[in-house]
Amino acid sequence: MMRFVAPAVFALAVLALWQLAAELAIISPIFFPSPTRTGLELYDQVVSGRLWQPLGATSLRMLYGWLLASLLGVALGVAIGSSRAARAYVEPTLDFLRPLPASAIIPVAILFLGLSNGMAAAVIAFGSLWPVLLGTVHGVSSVESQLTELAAALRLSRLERLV
Amino acid sequence: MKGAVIPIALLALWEAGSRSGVLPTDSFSRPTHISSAFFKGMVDGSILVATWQTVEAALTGFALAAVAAILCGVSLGLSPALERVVGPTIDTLRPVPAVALIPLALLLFGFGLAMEASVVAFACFWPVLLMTIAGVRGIEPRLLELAESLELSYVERLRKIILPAALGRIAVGLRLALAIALVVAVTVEIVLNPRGLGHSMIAAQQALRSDLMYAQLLWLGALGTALNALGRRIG
Repeated sequence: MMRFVAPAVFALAVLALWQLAAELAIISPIFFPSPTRTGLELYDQVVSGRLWQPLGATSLRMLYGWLLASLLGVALGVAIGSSRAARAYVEPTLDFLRPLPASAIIPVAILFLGLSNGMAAAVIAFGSLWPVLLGTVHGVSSVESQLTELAAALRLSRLERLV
Repeated sequence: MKGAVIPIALLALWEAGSRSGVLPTDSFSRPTHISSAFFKGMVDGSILVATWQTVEAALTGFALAAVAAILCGVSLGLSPALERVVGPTIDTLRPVPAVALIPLALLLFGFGLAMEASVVAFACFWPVLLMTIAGVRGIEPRLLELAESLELSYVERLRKIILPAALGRIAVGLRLALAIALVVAVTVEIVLNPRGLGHSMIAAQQALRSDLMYAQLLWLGALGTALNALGRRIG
């Protein structure tokens, strides 16, 4: 019982503190509304359905960007990871691109794609490409060498080895 | 050596494509134009000023978050009871995307350093907090008992026992936060805040100065690499 009460009390205390700060109007209520007003507005938005359309649009863009990043990341990752030569050529370039803040791509993406869903998906894909790509490169390049020798002995084609 | 082949080949293709008219200069610009825009920006100081504004906001937010998160993390790590009470509230706040707080930060602070640093601080707080809690929780219990029996004061215990013992994990949290700090600072500038590299990139794009935009983009890449290297040294 206590396990649920104490955390709930703390969360309510935080809300109460917020309400108190808003009631005392330390910051103008126009800029800093109370939790009750905020909650009412949220309820209103949910009930009237005005929240769902933007929420759906955001989720859909997220999904597209993620799909694009996963496809590109796995495909490129397998290509780079399965060849030692490719790694030597490509890795330094990747190491330079990776720390680039994803948001820095926004102006470039606007230039090429305009203010569109494609632009948003491209930026999201750039941001989420790296964990997929690096994980795949690492995973593929560390496949046990005995397994690759076996594949060579069986004379499997590149595609067969992959699958 | 081999690593330089691809960037050089790309630059050569880019330059050639631009000169032959295959790549339109207004969107692709041209490597020689980009490098001259970069040197002009460096000489007149505009890029350096923007860089300082971005780094200042990123590091201010990072430092605020690091101090607050380590202090909170130590208390929460030492007391599992307290962590159970506060944990659900933390878990509710943590997944809020920091950039979603930009409108709120603007209302509270107006344009400028404070608003940007506060969003950066929110983003950086969580990784440091969680790694500090994990680090303190992982301290050998005998060490804490030793501190108890030596009757060390709280500050001494913190300085001599707890922080050194939890330092490994805290450093990992700090490294994660440092990388996040730059991304969030640039995002805030691109979205709203009229200062720093993010803003001057978007201004260059809107002024159809794609050469300057690419110059700043590459510079930002170098900055990110430098911060990463710095983070690896503290980690």
